[in-house]
Amino acid sequence: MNSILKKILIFIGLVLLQAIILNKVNFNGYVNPYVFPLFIILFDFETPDWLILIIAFFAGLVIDMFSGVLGMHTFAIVLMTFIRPFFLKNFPPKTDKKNYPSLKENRFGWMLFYVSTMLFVHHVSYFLIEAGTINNLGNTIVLIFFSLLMSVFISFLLIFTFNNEK
Amino acid sequence: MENLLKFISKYHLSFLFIFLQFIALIIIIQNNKYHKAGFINSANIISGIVYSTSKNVSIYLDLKEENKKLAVENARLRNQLKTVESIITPSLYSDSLVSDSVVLDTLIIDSIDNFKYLAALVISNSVNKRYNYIYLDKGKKDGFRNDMGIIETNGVVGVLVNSTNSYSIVMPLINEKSKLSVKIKNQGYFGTLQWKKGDIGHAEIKEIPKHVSLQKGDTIVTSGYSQIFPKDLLIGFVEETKQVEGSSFLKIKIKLAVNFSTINYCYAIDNIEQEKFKEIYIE
Repeated sequence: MNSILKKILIFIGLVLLQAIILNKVNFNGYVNPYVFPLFIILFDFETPDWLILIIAFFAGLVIDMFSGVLGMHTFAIVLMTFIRPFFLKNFPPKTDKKNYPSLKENRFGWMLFYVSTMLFVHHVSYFLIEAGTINNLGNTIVLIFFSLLMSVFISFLLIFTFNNEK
Repeated sequence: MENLLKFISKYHLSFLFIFLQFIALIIIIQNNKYHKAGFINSANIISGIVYSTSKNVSIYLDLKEENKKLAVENARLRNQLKTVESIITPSLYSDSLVSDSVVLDTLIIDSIDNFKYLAALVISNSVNKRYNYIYLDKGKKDGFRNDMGIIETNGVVGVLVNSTNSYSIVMPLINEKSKLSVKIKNQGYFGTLQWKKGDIGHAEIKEIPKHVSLQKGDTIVTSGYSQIFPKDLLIGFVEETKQVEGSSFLKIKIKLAVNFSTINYCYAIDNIEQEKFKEIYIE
């Protein structure tokens, strides 16, 4: 029960961070960081995959409500969640004490690889859908690249701050 | 049958995934086509409450700037009021001008009566997306409805596209779906204003013929053809004109009058005639 409450609080925190602060970031239109996928990225390992998929779906809908355009974040985060178990199978993390991906047990390199790959899947799918066309592909790629850098950076600030407890 | 069940249970995750993505795609497509009638409304209570609470905090940061804006607008309105008074008053008191100015008088009052202005507070606005939207703290119960024009002290902001009981969503000029009929002030030529993602200070006008001579700083205003905005509302100023080879139209880059990243208060224009025009279209 306690862990469910904690999850809900984390979720609310990430949604507020995304909606109130990060959605307003704009460096000439080339950096839109999205950090809320961390909610799924750092989810417990033992939760059944189908349950995470459904949770991701509704989490995406909530984020979509704050952006005026519905469905785009939902699509991107569900795709990311679907790929997560395949990644974890091929690059298994250490899970002796903690049942979620934590920096205490895993090397920084693995964590960076894991978070970046997940955010990469999310960002590529989201920005391609948002563009709605492959005409302006160069622009979209630049946007994905800089946004991804920024998202990974902010994610690790959050991970260092909140996910580092013993 | 047994094989089928085995097959489903083996790939249950993929089936669930495809099912969820299918729903997400339907939502995206439905919102793209009929963004006014999506079955999950994004102008809902949750986002409304979060945005208005955070706005309550952040609005204090802009108070100084906002007061200055209001003072400038007050001064402008006072000047306009004087002009209107000087036109209307003779018709009431002077005998010699009666026949002429009574006509003028009713004309002015007519046009004033057609448009009513309602004030609202912007509780959230995005500027970094392809499809930017602005959230307002007023909704249907305050008389806000779809297709109202939204303006700010400096000029045109956009069009209201979706409203629930207590919140509304505006599609600003800086949304790639937005298309607004505009004209060059003091010339009859009109074109369509469109924006491309990235630069929130500038937009483009197409469909203005090549032979029109334009200078940097020429004023662009609303055309008044759409029944959403009255005519001659400020939109921006010409910054650059380009000749495009093989096309008979100019490519005009304009500087938008409104700074979209700092909007706080805005006005909705309620056009009473709009309903009548809609009836005509339907008939």
